[in-house]
Formats: sequence, C-alpha cells, structure tokens
Amino acid sequence: MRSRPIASLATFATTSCVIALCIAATDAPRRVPVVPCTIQESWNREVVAENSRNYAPSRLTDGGKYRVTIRPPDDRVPMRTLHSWILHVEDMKGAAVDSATICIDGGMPEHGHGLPTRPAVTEALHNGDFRVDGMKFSMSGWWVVKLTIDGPPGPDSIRFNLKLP
Amino acid sequence: MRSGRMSAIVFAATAALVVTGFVRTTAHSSDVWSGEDLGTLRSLSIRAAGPPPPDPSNRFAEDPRAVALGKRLFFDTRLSSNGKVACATCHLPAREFQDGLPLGRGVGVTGRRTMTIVGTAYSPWFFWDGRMDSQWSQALGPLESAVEHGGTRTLYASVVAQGYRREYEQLFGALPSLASLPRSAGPNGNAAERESWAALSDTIRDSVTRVFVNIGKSIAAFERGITYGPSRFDKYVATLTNATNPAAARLSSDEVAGLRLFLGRGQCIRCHTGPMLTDNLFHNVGVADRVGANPDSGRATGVRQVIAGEFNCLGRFSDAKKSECGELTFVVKDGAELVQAFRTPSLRNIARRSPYGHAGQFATLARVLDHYNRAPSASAGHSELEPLRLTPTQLRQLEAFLRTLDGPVIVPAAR
Repeated sequence: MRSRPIASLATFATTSCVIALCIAATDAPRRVPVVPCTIQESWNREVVAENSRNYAPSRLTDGGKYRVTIRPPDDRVPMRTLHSWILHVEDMKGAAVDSATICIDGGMPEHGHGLPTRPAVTEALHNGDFRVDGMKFSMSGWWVVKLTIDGPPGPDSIRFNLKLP
Repeated sequence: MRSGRMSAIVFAATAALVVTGFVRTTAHSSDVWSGEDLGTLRSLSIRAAGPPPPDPSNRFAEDPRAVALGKRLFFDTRLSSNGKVACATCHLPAREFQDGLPLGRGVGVTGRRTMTIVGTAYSPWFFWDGRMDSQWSQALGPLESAVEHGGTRTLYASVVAQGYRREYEQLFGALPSLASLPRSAGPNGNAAERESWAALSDTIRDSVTRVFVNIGKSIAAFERGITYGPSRFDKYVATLTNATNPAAARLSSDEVAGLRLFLGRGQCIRCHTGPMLTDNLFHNVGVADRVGANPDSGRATGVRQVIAGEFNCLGRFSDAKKSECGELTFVVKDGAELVQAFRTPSLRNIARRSPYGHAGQFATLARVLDHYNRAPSASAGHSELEPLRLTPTQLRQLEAFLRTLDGPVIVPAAR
C-alpha cells in the first residue's frame, strides 16, 4: 500500500525531469553536450621531410568539409605542462560549427610514440569554439595533432603539425 | 643627422664583432653551441626549475608546522610493525634519500629498487609504475606494505596519539578516541588485521584513515622542500648563457663531448628532459626482470591502481577540486606502450645512486650505457630503444658527462 504512491511520485518526478531536460536542450543557446570520444593512432615511426610539413594553425580538413583553427594558450604551446586549447571550427561557407563530435590525439611520428596524456574536447562553446583539456607535450621537436570531426557537413579529419622549441 | 646615425651603427657592429671575436678566442672551441642547443641547455639547468608546482591535493603542503611534524615522522621507527623501520631506513638522507640496494629492505624485501625522494615535488606520478599521484599518497604506500613498514592504520594512529598529539591537533584538529580500537587493524594488513578493520564502523574507519592520511600529508610537506642544488653542469650552462667567468665552471673536453652525445646521437634527451632531467613518464626500455622474479608489468598495472586508488587526486581524502586533477583525468589508461614501462628517473646525482634499473639490475653506469647501446628486446611489451652504436670512447664520454650532474641535496630546515 505504501509503495504505490511513492512509485507514482517517482514516475512523475522522472517524467518531469525528462521533459525539463528536453525543454532545456531545445532552449539551450547553441551549446551542445560534448560526446566523449577518443581516437588512438598507432604512432609508427614515420619520416616526413621538414619542408613538406604544413605548420599553419588554420587549415582545411582533408575532405574539405571544415576549416579548423587551433589556438594554444597565448598562441604558445607550453612544455611538460598540462594545458587547454581552443579549437575553432567553421564549415566551408565560413559559418561557425557548434554541434560536432570531435576526437583528438597526438604523437611524434619520428619517435613512434603518442602524447603523454589522452586529451579530450570537454566543452562546446559558442561561435564554433571547442575547449580541449588535457593537452601535454613531453619534449621538443615535431609533433602531429590529429582531429576527427563529425558535424552537420559530415565526418572529416585533419593532422596539424607543430614544431615545439 | 643621417650620417651620425650611420656612424653609430658602424661603431655598434664593429664593437659586436670585436666582442664576438674575443669570446670565440677565449672560450674553449668545444664550448661553442648553436642557439638551439643553448636553449635546450638552459631548459635542463636547475635554474629553470623554479619552485615546485603547487599540490592542491594537500592543503598542508606549505605549512611549516606540517614540515616540522613530517620531518619527525619521517625518521620515526615506531611507524612500523617491528619498531625498526622508518621512511629514512630506505630513504637515507646521507645517501641521496635512497638505500643503494638493488631491492628495498624494510621488514621484508621489496620487489623493486628504492627510488630517491629528492626533487619528487616536481613529478605528477610516484613509484616506478606511477601507482600514486601525490607525495602524500606515495608516503602512505610503504606504511601499509607488508614488506616495508608492515604496520596498519590503527597502529599508526596510536603512534600519533602517543607521540605527536599536540602538534597533530594544532594542525588537523582533535584526534579520534582510539582507546577501544584493536592495536593493529587495517584494510591492507594480514587476514586478522583486515578482519579487525572490517569489524569497525564506517565512522571509525573513516576517522582513523583521516589520521593516516594526515601522516602522509605531513611527511609530504617535509619531502616537498627536498631538492637538488646546482651541479657542475648547471654552473657550466650559467657561464655559457651569461658569458661571465667561463673558467670557473669549465667542463673537460670529454665531458662536453658527452654532453653533445646526450643531446644528439645518444638520444638521452628524448626522455631525460627539463631541469630534473626526467619527463616523469613511463617507458619500456627493455630492462629484463630479475632472474626468478615475478614478471613486472610496470605502468600497465600502475595506471589501473592509481585510477582505482583510495588516495588519488579525485578521492575524498584529496583536498583538490576535480578541475585540479587533470593528470589523473586525462591519464593514458591503456595501450601496449604501458606494458613493462617504468618511470624515467631523474639523472641528477645519478653517479651517486647505483645500482640502476627498476630492480637494481645494473651495478654501474657503464652497464646502463652498455644496455642502451645494445638495446636488447623487451621480455614483455615493446622496447622503445634502438641500438645507438656508440664507440667505447663515446660511452666513456657520456658517462663523464653524467658525472657532472652531481650536486648538493637541499633539505629544508624544520622548526
């Protein structure tokens, strides 16, 4: 006898919460939940001539679906310190992409190893900006940061080159 | 006006040439480094270290009262099952805060080499496998190990109550009542001690564990200030970059040749980076287990232990906010590269810390260098090394350079 009203109350509360969440989700000002996502490259030893590496921080993805800009703090990548990046993603018309699943991984092809951490996109901000936490570089030299992006224009990927002093 | 400015430029250029020529002729020819190498050398200098990064998981880390209490606890042999083992038993201040033995010896024998605690405030990971993520949680591990201190949480709480009540309570508040507790009970003790621990209420277990944690936080406060002073290498870098009194800190031609190998063909710089000469990361370098020892999977097991650990940065005994636990949140959790991977040790004062390897497998520096030169395959996982093919002369020069990393150990004065 006692359990039935409690169960009804719980059902009502759950339903209300679900409805409330749906409303919150539809009303949210273009801020989307971040889907946890990782990619793991196998960083096999790879030799790429220095002059054929593109070090530009703003580039088109391999399939041409997005323009991505990487923004380390103060435009300078700190060494051996955990830090955050902002990624800026636009579609080919130059419109900010606010809803996308983005995976990130990095490594040193010449040395055949990955980043010392497993960073992740932790927050989708406004205007096509995404926050990446957990970035860390353990040594100077040539690093590659790989992104896969899946948003309204479709899936695509890009490898950024970094030269850390 | 124009010609006056021109003369000034000519004068400045001439002066610069004269000064450059002077430095070139007075400095030893082997001491000429490229701008890139100079930047690297500066990054390895102890001067680049600065103060250790904050430890938000320990709010007593900078408290002088905790430093003083921690120092006394560090040397207290009552913190052991047989009354004979203190932290200082294996971390001897006169021996670089390590013991010089292949395997640590507390109430029993450990499976690994005792690591030094000098400079560890700069590391996000502790032990050879990084199974702890703070100095305070590291200090707690050996206390509950059956082969190190061999004691339990109730035993240690009673030592604090009897020996340090006033100092403890000034810092951490009132000790819980311990009168009715079993003398030795803890979750990591023997079967009887675990059973006694399980019979205690949650509240009592929590309050005793808090005393245990505060022992660790005090010891960590003392250890935090233990670091390295400048070595001959650091003085050499200082003279290179300041161009003052180069003769005061000259390295021999063999030592300089060794330093060039360290940065270049020896590839030591790949892992031994930064002012502590370690990346504080985990690498499989193909060092075999000791004969007859159980296979040691290194970081592959250590990372699971730190994630599940009761005393990690995200746990309820940590003083850190979740956002301050980035190393643990973004840790590499799995992957073939973690198998038989061990933490890179600092190379500071390395010549004073034989034997080498995670289980003291190498008696001398020469044997370590020979291992890196040959790069044997790993018995498990995959070694990151490739043969260096250095000549005996080059190996000798590399060793000569490593010996220039000897410097003083700085221990904080405690009240």
